[in-house]
Amino acid sequence: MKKLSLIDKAFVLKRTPLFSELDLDLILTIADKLGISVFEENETVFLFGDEATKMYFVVKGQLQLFDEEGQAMQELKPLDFFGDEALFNERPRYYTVKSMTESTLLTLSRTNLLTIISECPSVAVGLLQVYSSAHPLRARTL
Amino acid sequence: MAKLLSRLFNLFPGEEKSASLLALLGFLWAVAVTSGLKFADALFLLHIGSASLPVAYSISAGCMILIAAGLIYAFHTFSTHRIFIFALSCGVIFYLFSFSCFYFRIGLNEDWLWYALRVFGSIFFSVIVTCFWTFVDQYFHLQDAKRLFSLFSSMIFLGVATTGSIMLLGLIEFQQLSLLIAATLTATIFLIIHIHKTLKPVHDDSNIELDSVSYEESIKSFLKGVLSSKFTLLLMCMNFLIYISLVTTEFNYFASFDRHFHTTVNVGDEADAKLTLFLGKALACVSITNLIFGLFFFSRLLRKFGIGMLLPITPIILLITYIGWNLDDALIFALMGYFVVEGTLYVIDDSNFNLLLNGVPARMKHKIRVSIESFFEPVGTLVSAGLLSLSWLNPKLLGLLLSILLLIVALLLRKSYVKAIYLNLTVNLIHFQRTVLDWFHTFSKKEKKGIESRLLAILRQKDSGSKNFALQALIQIEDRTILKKVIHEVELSDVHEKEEFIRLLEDSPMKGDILIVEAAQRWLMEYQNPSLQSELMWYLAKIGLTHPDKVIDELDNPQLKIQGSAILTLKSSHADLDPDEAWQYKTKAYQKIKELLESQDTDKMVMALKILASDASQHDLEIVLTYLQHPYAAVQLEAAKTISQISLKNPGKTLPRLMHALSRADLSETRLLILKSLKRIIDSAHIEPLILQSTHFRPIEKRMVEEVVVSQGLKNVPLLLTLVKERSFHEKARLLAGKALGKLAVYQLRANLAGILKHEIDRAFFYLYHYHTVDNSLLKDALKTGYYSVLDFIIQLLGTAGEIEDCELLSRSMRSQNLKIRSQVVETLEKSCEPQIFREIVPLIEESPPEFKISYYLKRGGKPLILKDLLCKMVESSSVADRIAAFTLLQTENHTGWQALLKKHMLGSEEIFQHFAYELLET
Repeated sequence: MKKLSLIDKAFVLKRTPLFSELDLDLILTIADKLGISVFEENETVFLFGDEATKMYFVVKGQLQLFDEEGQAMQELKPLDFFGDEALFNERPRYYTVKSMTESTLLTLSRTNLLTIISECPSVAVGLLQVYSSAHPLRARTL
Repeated sequence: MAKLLSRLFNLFPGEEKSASLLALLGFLWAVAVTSGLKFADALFLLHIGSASLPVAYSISAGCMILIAAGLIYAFHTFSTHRIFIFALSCGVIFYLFSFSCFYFRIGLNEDWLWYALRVFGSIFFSVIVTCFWTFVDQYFHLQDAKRLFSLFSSMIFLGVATTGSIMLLGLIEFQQLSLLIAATLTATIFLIIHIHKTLKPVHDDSNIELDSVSYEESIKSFLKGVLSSKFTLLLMCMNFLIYISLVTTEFNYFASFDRHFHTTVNVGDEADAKLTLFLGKALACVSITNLIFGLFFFSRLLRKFGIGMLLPITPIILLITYIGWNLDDALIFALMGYFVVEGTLYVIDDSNFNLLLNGVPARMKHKIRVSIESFFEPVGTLVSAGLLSLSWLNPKLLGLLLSILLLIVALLLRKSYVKAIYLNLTVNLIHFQRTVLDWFHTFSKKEKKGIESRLLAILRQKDSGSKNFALQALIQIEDRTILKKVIHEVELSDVHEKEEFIRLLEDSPMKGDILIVEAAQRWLMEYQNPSLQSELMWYLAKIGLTHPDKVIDELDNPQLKIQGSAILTLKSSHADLDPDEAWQYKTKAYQKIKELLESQDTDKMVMALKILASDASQHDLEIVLTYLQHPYAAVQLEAAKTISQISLKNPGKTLPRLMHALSRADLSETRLLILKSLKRIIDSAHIEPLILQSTHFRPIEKRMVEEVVVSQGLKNVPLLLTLVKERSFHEKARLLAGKALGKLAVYQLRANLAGILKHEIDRAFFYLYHYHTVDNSLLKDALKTGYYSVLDFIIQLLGTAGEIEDCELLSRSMRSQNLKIRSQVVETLEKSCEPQIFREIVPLIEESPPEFKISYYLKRGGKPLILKDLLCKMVESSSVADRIAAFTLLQTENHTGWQALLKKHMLGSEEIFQHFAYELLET
């Protein structure tokens, strides 16, 4: 696979809903902290119950989310992101992710994500927008 | 009894199982592996002689280099426990083979068997040591390692001492021993499987790249990483020298022993030979010394004096040994050499090495371990073998030279350790202040070229979002040669791209470039698109290339930007005009500006402010200042932008208005611009209010406030010191004052640090103790918040005093989920702050169980408070959160007189507290 440069990473980020509001300076800064992971077809990204240390952004390929019983839950395509929930609730992964085709993912560690949120509230707003659109009728109880 | 043992071995509750399993593992493999090696040593000396040792060293080294390459690949590909099991299985097979050789008397009268035993023994020992420590390392972080690794090392010494005792007793022949070794290794394999299933490793989340790049790339990045880390280079250098010294010293003492106990024995009688018995006795003595030192002294010395003090011990002993040995070939010096090789190198330097590895960039840690333990040993052995083969080189003189070199490198390594640990933490440092241009400067010429082509290629794509982003990047690079290519690409694109290009240039330093001016004038003639036309006219007006006569008819143009460009042209008109005419134009322009400002349309107001920003005068400042507190955030922002571009000639009048506007500004960007203006005119009298105001600011704004304060120079040092000490102020304000003080006068901060922190440490213990002892959730939350707030203050102030570049990183990392990151913060603080302060805060920051932490509160003389007293104390706190939680509970419990107390506290308190108080009183 062709190596992703800082600029390539920045462009991927800019196209995701989380970072679309940020300036180029900030995007480059965040892109610098991203790792790259490449997964072969049918390779597992993480398993249900694994400890969560980073979130992922899909650059290339297709991935599938599976629940504890191995039932397919959701398909992921380029520019989708996943694995962020467990970084906030500090619980183990509650789904398994497998790469359906050869996939390239960008990874962002929990420590870096939290630092970015403290500096750039628009990232937190982006996450909230994604969560609220996923659960429009969430029960208002804590 | 269990408690006593835990204290003796520095174990925290809950660690007993993992510690005992790993200690047992260390003991088992050590007995098996060292039995094989030490008997092989004796057998080799008895049957072949020390003169052939360099040959054995060379064979071992050659084989080891190949095995090390395999190991590096294996650690990259397979899990540590699998590699460990595989290595031990090879040992089982080899010692079963050796048993067969003795049983069937194969090769006993030939040299190859003794070579095979010696070579396999030494290789097997190196591989198992690497596997064991890599395996153990995954279960502990640095601070655990400091407490527990000496226990595991001691168990290895116990294993070695057992080997020594077996040799000393002379009861078991090598034939039976081979079988025993194979059986022990098998038991070790089962133990590893059990440990792998039951213990949970401590995760590293910094090895992002490791799972992604190919092997070839990782070798390249590995070498690059090694060369860019001074500490890693020194560590590798130190270990390389250790291996050469080890082999040289071993050669020297074996030669000495050979001279003192020169005998030849028959096969089967080796166990009773004088040399075997002597080696057994020496090994047992050294191992017991190692055991006692490792168990009871090493971790305590390490915690008391730090790793830096332990680093030069071996080089110094070695230096003394060789100085004496070069003067006299007495057995005592050979024994001292033996003591270093079998003693201090294991008990001190091996343990140090495991800790020093934490200073190596995290992503390279395992590779560095394998390189050092597997590559350096054979290469060092080969180099030593080569050097020892040189007949003109005295081996003892070589030892002396090596010990001097070793001492120098150890001292250098000690010096660079703190920085290396901090640099590892900076993996998580995000450079938010970097601009596109800064980033561009970090690239090589080739990379710059690649980025440029990539961005230009994006300009040719259809995705408008990416195109705009690429355009933005290309303009911000501020390179004229690139600009030419960009204009060429924009020429080929549609009007929207041209419009975007011109808009992006508005604030660029390249906006006046002739290439752009020519393009803009050409497009103005060629394209009739109203949107592009207005953008072009605004651009040309801003750079002063429009004439009043040509735009006078556009003053009422419905297109706001065209209207704005006309007003701006009139306002800026002076050159080549009759003064009266220019004055008329200006008056007209200000009339129109007034109209725009007085309209209810924010777009018009923003346009008016933009016009004022260009070529602004003191008169303009007066107008703009009033809009700084406009209810609309966009108007505030534009006003702040305008002010930041005007020279502020009357600070006495402007300063209070800017300070007031700062407290009312809605947007972070507005606050940053106001701070930028304040930096130019602020005086000492406004430093304190500015710092106090900054408590609710965003991180980037706080950094700007700090910059403003520092820009005022040393005259504010006494004020800053007073602010840091003032306990009634919010910790965040005190911290900001402390950070500025650290930049201006770090020695003054250090001199006052112990006094400032004493009270804060007491407060942290107070919060922590009561957090663990109260059962009300609201109160628990308030106490937890208070604890973290005070801990942040302590850590960041210590970081500032220790001249840590980004001390916020320390407190952020302290909250990381990752134990290894937290332990590096502790290590950084230990190395950068005064020992007595560090001893005070250790119970707060180390990973000990809560009962340990809260017991320190009582030990420090803290008093456990009952709920009522606790609430009364929190009511008096400087923290709003404490007061709010305390009054809420006083009201819930209907505490007598809470209303009167609350009313008393409302006076002079923060706005947020007053709102809370009104609400509470109304309920």
